[in-house]
Amino acid sequence: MLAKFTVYRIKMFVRDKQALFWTIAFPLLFVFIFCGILGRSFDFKLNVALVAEESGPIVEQLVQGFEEGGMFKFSEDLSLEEAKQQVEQGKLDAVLIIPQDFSSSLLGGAANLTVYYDKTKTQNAQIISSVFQQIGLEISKRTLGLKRFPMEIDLKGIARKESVENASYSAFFIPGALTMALMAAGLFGVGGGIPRERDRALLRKLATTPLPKFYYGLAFIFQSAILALLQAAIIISVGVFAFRVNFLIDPLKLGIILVLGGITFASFGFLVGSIAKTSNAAEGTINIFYFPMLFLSPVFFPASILPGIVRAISGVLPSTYLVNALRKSLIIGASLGDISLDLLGLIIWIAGTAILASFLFRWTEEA
Amino acid sequence: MIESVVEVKDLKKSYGKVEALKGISFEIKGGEVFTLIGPNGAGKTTALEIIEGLRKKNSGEIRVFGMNVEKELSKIKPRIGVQLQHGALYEHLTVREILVLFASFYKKNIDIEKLIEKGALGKIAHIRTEALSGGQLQRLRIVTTLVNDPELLFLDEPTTGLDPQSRRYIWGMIEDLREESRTILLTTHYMEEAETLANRVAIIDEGKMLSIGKPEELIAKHGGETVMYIETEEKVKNKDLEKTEKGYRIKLKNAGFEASRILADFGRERVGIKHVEIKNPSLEDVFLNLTGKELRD
Repeated sequence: MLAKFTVYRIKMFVRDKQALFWTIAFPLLFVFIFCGILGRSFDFKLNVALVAEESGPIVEQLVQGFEEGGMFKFSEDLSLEEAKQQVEQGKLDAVLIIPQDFSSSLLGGAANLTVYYDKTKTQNAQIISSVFQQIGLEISKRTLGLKRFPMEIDLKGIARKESVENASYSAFFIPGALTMALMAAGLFGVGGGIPRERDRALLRKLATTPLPKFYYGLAFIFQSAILALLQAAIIISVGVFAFRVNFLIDPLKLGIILVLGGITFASFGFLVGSIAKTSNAAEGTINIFYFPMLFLSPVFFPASILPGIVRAISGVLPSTYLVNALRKSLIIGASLGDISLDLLGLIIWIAGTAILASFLFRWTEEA
Repeated sequence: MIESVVEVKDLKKSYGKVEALKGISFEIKGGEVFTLIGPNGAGKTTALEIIEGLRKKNSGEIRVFGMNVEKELSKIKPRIGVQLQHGALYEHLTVREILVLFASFYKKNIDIEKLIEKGALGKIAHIRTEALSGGQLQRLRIVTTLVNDPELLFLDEPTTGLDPQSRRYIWGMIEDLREESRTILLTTHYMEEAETLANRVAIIDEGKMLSIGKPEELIAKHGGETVMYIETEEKVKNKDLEKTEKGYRIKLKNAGFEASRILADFGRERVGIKHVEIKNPSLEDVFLNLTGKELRD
């Protein structure tokens, strides 16, 4: 009976246009507005630092050739260490090192180039390698009269230093929009759904059947957990495909965070739905929780812009735990261990709200 | 051996200062259709909901299948089917999905296709309940109470607000349920419904039980006399006749014989008659005589 109820709950949700709007379309609207305005997503040029240990006509021609390709923007005033640091921080996409004896090695038929790239962007490494080879071959033919480009490109990945703040706004906001979506599903979907079913005497009808209250609650919890995955699939896809955000997607880890997040807000919603006796009462109660949580947690902007006391409150909100876990995982590839405190925060919220709700939930005023 | 399925003794219930039930008692035997009649606010729904376990009583004793409703509700629920007076179904699910969902709450089930047939829902089985008409929705609501093959059914005003055709269809459904020897506790506003369906009727008003019995017994006891109405524009010399606006009326003690004797007088005196009506007492009269109120929707 629980499995069937859960499946039917999902069916009802998916068929409810209003629910779909608030839990998927509305957060997506925010993604398009915020990422469209603030995201630096349509800049296809790769920022590459050039560290040339040799100068000379061959090197100059090569660099010029690379630049003319239109794919790269070179900066030449950084030391190797500085440049590598900037890759770590996500400010640069790659560092190109031209070694001291480059020209002579090239003419000798066996040159080496070293490229450090941002490990989170493996596709950039492929672009750099193939474009360098191609342009290199052109230049070798034209100016050196060589039939091939005798160069090995040594690609070295650099792990991004953990810093969510260095991410593009799109990468920053999409986990926020996802958090917003999960909040809406739990608070409005579950928290608003229960009083609506109470108003329409559906709870009275269920009360006359052997369906346990516990199962009624669990069906909502499972529904939200599964829907969270669907919401994430849609919102993250929009981020990746429309706004070219490079997320580090580990499905299992992401799944765990999303399921916990979905359950957190479903359980919160269940508590609200147990307290509010009518839809009207629920609406007010939900808004009391939804908007402060939305704006006090770092959904739209980093917590660092909040004043001290507010930041302390913000730190213990379920939305804060969720958005932080999502960001750390998606942007810097944090492990479950790295975000264990955030996950623990979610689990404590789930336990607290679920226990309270199980005491407060009633089918009817008297039963 | 017909045992009592529902026993209610001196049931009392108050909402704040309002006494909704002032101590009612009745007993329903297995396989009978027991009908509660009463005007709005009489306490019918309150009584039903206490027996169903949806409300708590203040005092009194209730047993369903011999079990205590408050303590053994979980054993009672699988054996009953409840159609509430008001209440929607999940609007985004189809007719068939609603039945499958509700059936999943019970261990014992009736074949869903049979239920669809029973409710004449075949053509609309794939339609979401939000698109159903009032009559279709009501048929579905009643069929939904049958998914667990219940022994005892609660039907709270199953035909209120429906068109005559839908009402007739539902009466047919209830008659079929009675033939399957299910016990039914029915409430209604419609006297005709009670007369057609009920084995026994209980009249309740202002939280009090006024009378219980078979419809014909109640009519005999509280219905009053048979009255003949004769419409004519002329005058007759019969002192027993009572003058009315359109002619005469007379209470008949021995309906058949008396009526023909009186009409014969009209013939002898060559008085023309436009219309004659002999009205036997009905539950409506029983109700009117007991409560002094007209029944209203």
